[in-house]
Amino acid sequence: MQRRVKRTLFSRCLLVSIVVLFVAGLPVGAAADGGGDLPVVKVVYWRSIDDLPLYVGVEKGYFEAAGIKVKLEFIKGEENALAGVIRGDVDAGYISLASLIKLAERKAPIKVVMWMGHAHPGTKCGIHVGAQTGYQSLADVKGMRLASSGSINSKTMLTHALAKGGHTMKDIRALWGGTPDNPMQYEAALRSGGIDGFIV
Amino acid sequence: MLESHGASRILASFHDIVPNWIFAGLYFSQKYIDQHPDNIRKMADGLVKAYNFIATHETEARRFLPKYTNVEEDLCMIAALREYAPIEPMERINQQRDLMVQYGYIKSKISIDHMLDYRFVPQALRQEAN
Repeated sequence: MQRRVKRTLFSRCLLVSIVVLFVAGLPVGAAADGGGDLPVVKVVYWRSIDDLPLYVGVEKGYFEAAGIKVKLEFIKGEENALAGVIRGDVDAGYISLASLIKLAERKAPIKVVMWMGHAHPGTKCGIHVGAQTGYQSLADVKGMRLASSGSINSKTMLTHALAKGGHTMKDIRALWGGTPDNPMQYEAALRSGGIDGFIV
Repeated sequence: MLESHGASRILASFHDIVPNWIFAGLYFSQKYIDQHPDNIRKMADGLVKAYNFIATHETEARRFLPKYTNVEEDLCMIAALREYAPIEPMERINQQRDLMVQYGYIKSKISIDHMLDYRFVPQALRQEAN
């Protein structure tokens, strides 16, 4: 009797585990009902606020109304996404203009079919400094310890910003490779005093 | 977003530094473009509708963010969004490229015309961009 109860419990746990694993393994977009036999387009996303048009397209049913089912696949990093697209593991991804230019030099077999956003007067992406620091303008950044991804986009932006303030890269201490996964990691680095600012 | 926590303040936004800085483009492999042009046209149709929805119903659009991102809902409702245009002016693209060349991050002022394929964007928007 006791053995039968244990066996039943084990079976239920196994069933629940299988269901949980199945649901967790589905790409975002696949869990939604509908879509039927529509062709599936697998698009890389980065769980970013900047991917909002993709989320809206899925949630509002715009892609299905157009005749496709979009599945969002998380692949971290532009290079990994590009490799996935070239291999055919996924169908589409995002690329920065800087990376596109580098690929143009190599005649890579991809094409941008539309752009996914630009800065505007309300943009808050840029050079952020710790609230406790004394940096007030681009003219007084000498000695600043500034973390950035080190991408060509970031470097170009930073170099141009420094030039506007009458400085060069030699006037600050740039820390390349700083690409935290979430905003709270930036906050921790700023509050610890390890860096004075960052580009995000 | 960190400004809202009091951790940081913005010294200069991307727009302050280079107005209308273009962030990213949606790309497909040439093989996919050759094999599935209709899927790409449909994808573009859906995205253009999404762009319009964000422009006209921003608050409603923001409510989708917590489901897909690791960002807290209150931050999702105030974080700055990009402006979306399926076709960016070529002079803006070239200006960014020229800066990259000027500062030594890109070797030459290579044309990227052969890396762009706007024929999937709805015709009205293509005409508007010309």
